[in-house]
Amino acid sequence: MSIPNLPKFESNILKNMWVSCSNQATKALSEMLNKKVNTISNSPKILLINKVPKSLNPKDVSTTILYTQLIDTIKGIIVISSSLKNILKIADIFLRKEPGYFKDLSDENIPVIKELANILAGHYVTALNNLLGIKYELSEPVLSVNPYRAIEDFDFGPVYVEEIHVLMLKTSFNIVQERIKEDVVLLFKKEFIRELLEMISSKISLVKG
Amino acid sequence: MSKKKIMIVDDEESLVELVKAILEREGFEVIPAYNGDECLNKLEKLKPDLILMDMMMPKMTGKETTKKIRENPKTKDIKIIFLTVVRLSEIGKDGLKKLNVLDFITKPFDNADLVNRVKKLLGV
Repeated sequence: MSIPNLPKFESNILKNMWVSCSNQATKALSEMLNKKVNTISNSPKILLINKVPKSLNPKDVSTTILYTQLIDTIKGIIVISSSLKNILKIADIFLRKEPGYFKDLSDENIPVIKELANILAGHYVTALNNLLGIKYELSEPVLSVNPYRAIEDFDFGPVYVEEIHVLMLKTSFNIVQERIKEDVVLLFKKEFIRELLEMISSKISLVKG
Repeated sequence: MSKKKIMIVDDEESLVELVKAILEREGFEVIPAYNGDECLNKLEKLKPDLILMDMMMPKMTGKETTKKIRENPKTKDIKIIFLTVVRLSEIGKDGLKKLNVLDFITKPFDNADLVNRVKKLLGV
């Protein structure tokens, strides 16, 4: 089965939508950490879902991800992906610990890490809701140190048995001062792309009057 | 008339001391708690009129502590204000409003603003 292409016009619309969501989240992240945050948002891509973890962080075997489901008719998922080291650095900052205080995930830092994921995803989803005029809600974030295991739990079907394509929108965050890099990825099931684009088009028509 | 009781829950000891001093000066009785467990342990016995709850605490976040407070019939109606260093999104605020969190105060806060909001919620 060939991978479908996303037409350029639709691709641009989706990218603009994603950049707008990312701007809100970047502002929030920068305020949360009280540090400058740089971002790069990629163009939307359609790809096999079991390729997604590799694209998230191909070189770092300690990739840790936090994911939260978007609850509405158009099924999606927001994934925050980073190295464990960077996630622990962020926990140090938030819990006012000395750099390097946390050596591993623990009962002490996991609730805060999940809460941060919730807050960051909340900014994306609020921006999406405002842009699309929908009412997405978020599930509780799940923390996983095994993206391959986690991806089976994304509820997108039998990912290693069937060819399941997804639409991926991705932003890379760089907190320069702390040398922290993380990716935020939004995945939609391919079946929802048309519906999603129609939703965006109707919103654009409304704005144009 | 008995003093209104306010519990401040925050892992940052200096902030707890600061809020305690501000609110005691206004005539409130202030109960300090430095984590979610301590908050839950003290609640039933001390029955505060209002809780000022930090959002980001180790082990049990403010949200998790609030969920437990709401699950307990003896504490479910206590008024709660969240203290947060984070600007919350609309969906984030909606999630907390579902837990009947009545207000959000961003740290660092203005002392007079904190007092005004507390007084308003307690009707004093």
